[in-house]
Amino acid sequence: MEIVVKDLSVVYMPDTPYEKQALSHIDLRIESGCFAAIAGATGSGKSTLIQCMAGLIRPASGQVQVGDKIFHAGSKSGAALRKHVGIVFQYPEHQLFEETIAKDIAFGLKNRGITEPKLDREVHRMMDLVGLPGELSDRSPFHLSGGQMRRVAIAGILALKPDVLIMDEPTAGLDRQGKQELFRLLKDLHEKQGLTVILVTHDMNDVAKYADQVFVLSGGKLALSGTPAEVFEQYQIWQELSLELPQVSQLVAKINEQLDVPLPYSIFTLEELEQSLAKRFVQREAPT
Amino acid sequence: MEPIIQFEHVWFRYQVDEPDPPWVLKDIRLNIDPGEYVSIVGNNGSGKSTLARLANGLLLPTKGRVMISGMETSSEQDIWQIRRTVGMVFQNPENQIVATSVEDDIAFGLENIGVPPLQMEEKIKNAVKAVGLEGFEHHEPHTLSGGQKQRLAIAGVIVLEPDVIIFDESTSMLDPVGRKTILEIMQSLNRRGKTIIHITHSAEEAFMADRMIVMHQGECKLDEATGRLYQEAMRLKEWELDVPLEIELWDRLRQKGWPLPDKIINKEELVSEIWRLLSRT
Repeated sequence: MEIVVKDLSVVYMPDTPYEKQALSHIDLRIESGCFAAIAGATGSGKSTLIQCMAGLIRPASGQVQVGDKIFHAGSKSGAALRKHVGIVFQYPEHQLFEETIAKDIAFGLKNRGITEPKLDREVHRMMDLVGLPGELSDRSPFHLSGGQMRRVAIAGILALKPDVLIMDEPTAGLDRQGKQELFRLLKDLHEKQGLTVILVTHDMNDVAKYADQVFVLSGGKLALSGTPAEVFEQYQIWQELSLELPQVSQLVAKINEQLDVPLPYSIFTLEELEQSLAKRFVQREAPT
Repeated sequence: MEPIIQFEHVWFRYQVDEPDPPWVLKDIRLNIDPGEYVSIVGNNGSGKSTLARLANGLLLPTKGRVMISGMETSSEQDIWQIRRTVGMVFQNPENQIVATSVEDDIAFGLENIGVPPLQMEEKIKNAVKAVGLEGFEHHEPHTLSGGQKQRLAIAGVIVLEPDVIIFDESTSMLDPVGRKTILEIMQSLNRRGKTIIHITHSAEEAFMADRMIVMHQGECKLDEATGRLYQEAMRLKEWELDVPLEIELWDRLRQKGWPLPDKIINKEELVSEIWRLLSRT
């Protein structure tokens, strides 16, 4: 489902000494079915933006449109958006609270009036979707590993069948394996279920690997947007914003320090770097 | 020189209501000398955090013994001295803050060990300076950023003047800016003679230490100086760990037949080798 943000501004605690402009005049469009990333430093407005998209924070001016639902300063509530947009917040495992995994996943469904036997069926379908073995359903979620707890939380959101799934720093604190598994799940959901996925992160390596579209926020403004190649190419701007580029881009910058003809900054994967170096290197010694 | 931390055939398992709980640590033998900068890497469940908790007596070995500056952690009379010798900084900065101002939070530990108020001022000032929180002394901790909170947690530890500081995934919840400052603080503490143990998932961070220990399924699989480890770093994949990017590139280029040396000791060396080869063409 498409998301269009028009001239969106958000002000916290207006007309008080603590007034803070969290977002100013953001314009962006996230295409339906895309894997988008919203990046930026802490305090750049990422969380405020996604909460507007999910109908949780009201715009001070401008609007957010999700599908055909519009949310603006005068809207009665953001409830219309909430039906379409699911947010998995940072460390969602801290929000688990039920005695069993099945009950935790069922919580949102029950609120929507779903009853047995459909409820049980749905819960098991969701467990299957996120890769949790069905026999875990009666176990306490608190005995799972960090990565698995996170899956329970995601299943609870997916059960509500959102068209857009927003994940705020989904891999923070996970190890390499947990991280890879989670991204595999997100890619699957994106490709097979046609979900529009929005990833909020400050890890540019993840952006480089997974996103089709990138939006970079800085000080509540949209600083850069485009495909990863288009965005990472703006090497100067990244330095000015003191944001961290993907590790590959950093290595490219380091190699470029002493090359007369620099490597292009549009390189952001190891494969591209390897190929680009190979092109330049005319082999004098035959490989053994 | 006597090692500051000694693990002698340490086995550990949690006491649970199961007949035969699995071993979390198996036969760990380890010596760490004063002033070393060691990283411990391993996936979740590898036993690395358990290892850290055994090093300051938060947990006691099921078999074997852990010695800190010659004191055994199971000794009740030495345990307080051991905990003052080995300080710990944990993963989540939110869980380590107790007071309502930065200064009071740092003073908390000093009060506990009975430092007279007159001496506190100087100590707090030094701790604040060491973590770069000058000007924040009277701020409320909840107004600080994640990275600043973690710096406050470190100040609360170093004010007690431990010889060893263990950072248990202390950078994993921070943004890149916060992470960088914490890593710089670790390095500067190490330069000033503190023994630093950094438990992390990140290959990049682990290679900043002088020595790296790989934990996998409760066993110590590798214990090597990072300079020497570079050439066999592709092995880290065996234990599902990340390999630093430059090593991955070096490995790929070599497989393509680039005449690169069969060992490199750091990123700078790889980059200058690439320069050399490209400028010859």
